[in-house]
Amino acid sequence: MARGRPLDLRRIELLEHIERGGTISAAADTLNFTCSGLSQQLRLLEGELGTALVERSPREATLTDAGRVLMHHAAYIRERLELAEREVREIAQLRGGQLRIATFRSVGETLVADAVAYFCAHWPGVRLALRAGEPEDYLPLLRAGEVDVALTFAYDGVDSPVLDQRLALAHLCDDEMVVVLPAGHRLARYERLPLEALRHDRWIVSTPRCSVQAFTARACRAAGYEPRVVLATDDYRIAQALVACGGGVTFLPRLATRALHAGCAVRPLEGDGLFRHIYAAHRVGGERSPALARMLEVLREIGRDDAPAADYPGGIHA
Amino acid sequence: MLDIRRMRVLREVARRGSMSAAADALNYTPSAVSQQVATLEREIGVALVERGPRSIMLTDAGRALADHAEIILARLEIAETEVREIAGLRGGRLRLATFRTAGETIMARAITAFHTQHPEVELRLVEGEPEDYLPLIKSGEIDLGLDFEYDHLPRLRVESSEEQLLMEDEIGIALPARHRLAEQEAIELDELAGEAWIGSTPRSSAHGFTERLCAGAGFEAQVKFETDDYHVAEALVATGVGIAFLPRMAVATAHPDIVVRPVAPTPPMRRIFAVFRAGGLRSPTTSAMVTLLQEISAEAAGAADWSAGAAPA
Repeated sequence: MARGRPLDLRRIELLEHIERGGTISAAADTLNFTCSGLSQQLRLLEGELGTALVERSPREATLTDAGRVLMHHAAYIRERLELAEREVREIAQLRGGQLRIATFRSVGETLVADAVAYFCAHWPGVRLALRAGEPEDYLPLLRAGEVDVALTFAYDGVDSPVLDQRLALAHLCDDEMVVVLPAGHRLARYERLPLEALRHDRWIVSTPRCSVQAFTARACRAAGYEPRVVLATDDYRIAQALVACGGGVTFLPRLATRALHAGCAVRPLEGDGLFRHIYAAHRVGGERSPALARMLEVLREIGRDDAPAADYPGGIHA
Repeated sequence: MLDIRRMRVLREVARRGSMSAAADALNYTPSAVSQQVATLEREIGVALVERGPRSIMLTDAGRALADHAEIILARLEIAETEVREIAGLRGGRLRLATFRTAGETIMARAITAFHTQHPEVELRLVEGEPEDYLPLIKSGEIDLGLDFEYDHLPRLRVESSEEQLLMEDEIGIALPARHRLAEQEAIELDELAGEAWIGSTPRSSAHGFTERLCAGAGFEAQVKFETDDYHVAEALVATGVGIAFLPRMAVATAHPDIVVRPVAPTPPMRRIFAVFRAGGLRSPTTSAMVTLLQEISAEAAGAADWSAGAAPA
């Protein structure tokens, strides 16, 4: 059970004015109270505590021991209240506080890194904490309130965005799925690839834990064949290295090819393309926090700029 | 200035994780809790809670404010408890400090009497030197400490304190029982020229008393041993390595192999005071203890004689 109502600090603070003024009337003057108004407030406080706080005589008013004890505590409490107010206002003005972000790796290296850099440059007072992992690991932390914003994704034809009535999703960008080929691959001269043309290639995919494996299977089946999988890895840098040395080809989201292995070329698919959709998930209501609201704006902005800025590293018609 | 009662509402929301649990704890309606939080948010200009569909989670600002609220409300409760303690003895606390001789005599008896009269008040006592514990009165770590003032010696004054004289304690001379002057009823100081003395250490505010008194009698005291422990001094006197000034208060518990004789013609004195926080007598516990100490000291001053081992009546 919570205790009874806390004492009224404003009444306690009257004591300090009485101590300083030396008389009830002097204190009443500085407070813009009438003498009887001030006396009444005092009586209420004394009644609440069941003891005299001020010894009154016509010529002077002095605090009792109890009154003095109360006055000293009130001074501390006021300082602490001012500190609290300052701290909260700093958070409101994006000059303090913290924001905890969780991201998966390919977006952590690109979109989130850009957003964090931008945010830090503009609001250096806000402490950012960044955690990298897989959404299935950190989404529970988001629900539990240990993370404020979590990056998540949905692959075309494989998974749908996480559904949870406590979470809201802000769509950031559609990250196109591209084929990573050895730079000297016979098909590297094409600007866009027909997926059927890769029916005899060996494929490198993710482990079943990540969506790229299922995505690859679905996409190739739609193109009329079963992909010949030679290796599964969740590390897209290793996948690129394997591609570069002729180990096979792989699907990667474009954001995972920003830093591309020199021996690789990247080609989008013919037609409308296939995508990985990227979202920032947050608790419904979390956007009431100014730092989070601002971070969502920054992420959206950078997501918008990032997606179309699709040049094709590895060179076209190489 | 932020409103403490609204901060308390926020604290309950933080502690209990929902508006309705906070409402139960506070005996409010959930909508009143929600409204109080909204008002606090408006006042400070930032959201404090994420208003989600099923649960309430605090924003960063809300967590910061709720943490401050915990500390502030705890402090307010301490203030209230302290005031109630001052207001009535019930559940009160009195922290005392004494020097050794008084601790074995007037303070021991005062504590016993006080405890009998007010068993609900928690008493604490530390023993030490006044110059160590009296400054703790100002910082509020002790409520009442005993102090002494020897003739001819300056006395340390403590800021923001008041005092009450308890008694005058006559200073006699402790001699080995076989000392040539042990049979004399009173001793004049000049009879003691050439004796080895046991004095106080420089840490004590009684330091220099032996030297001053002997110088006044026309000779230089040969202080061979320094100790602030009366029992050690008495043991040294008993073994015959020296003689010492000893307050009458200490005689009751003195070593059996020594005698204590008054000084003639003018007996030196020390005065014993109760020192407490300025305004401290308005505290019922402090004032009750001071009254007891005065009564007990008056009895002690009147009843004591110079026979070692004789407890005051």
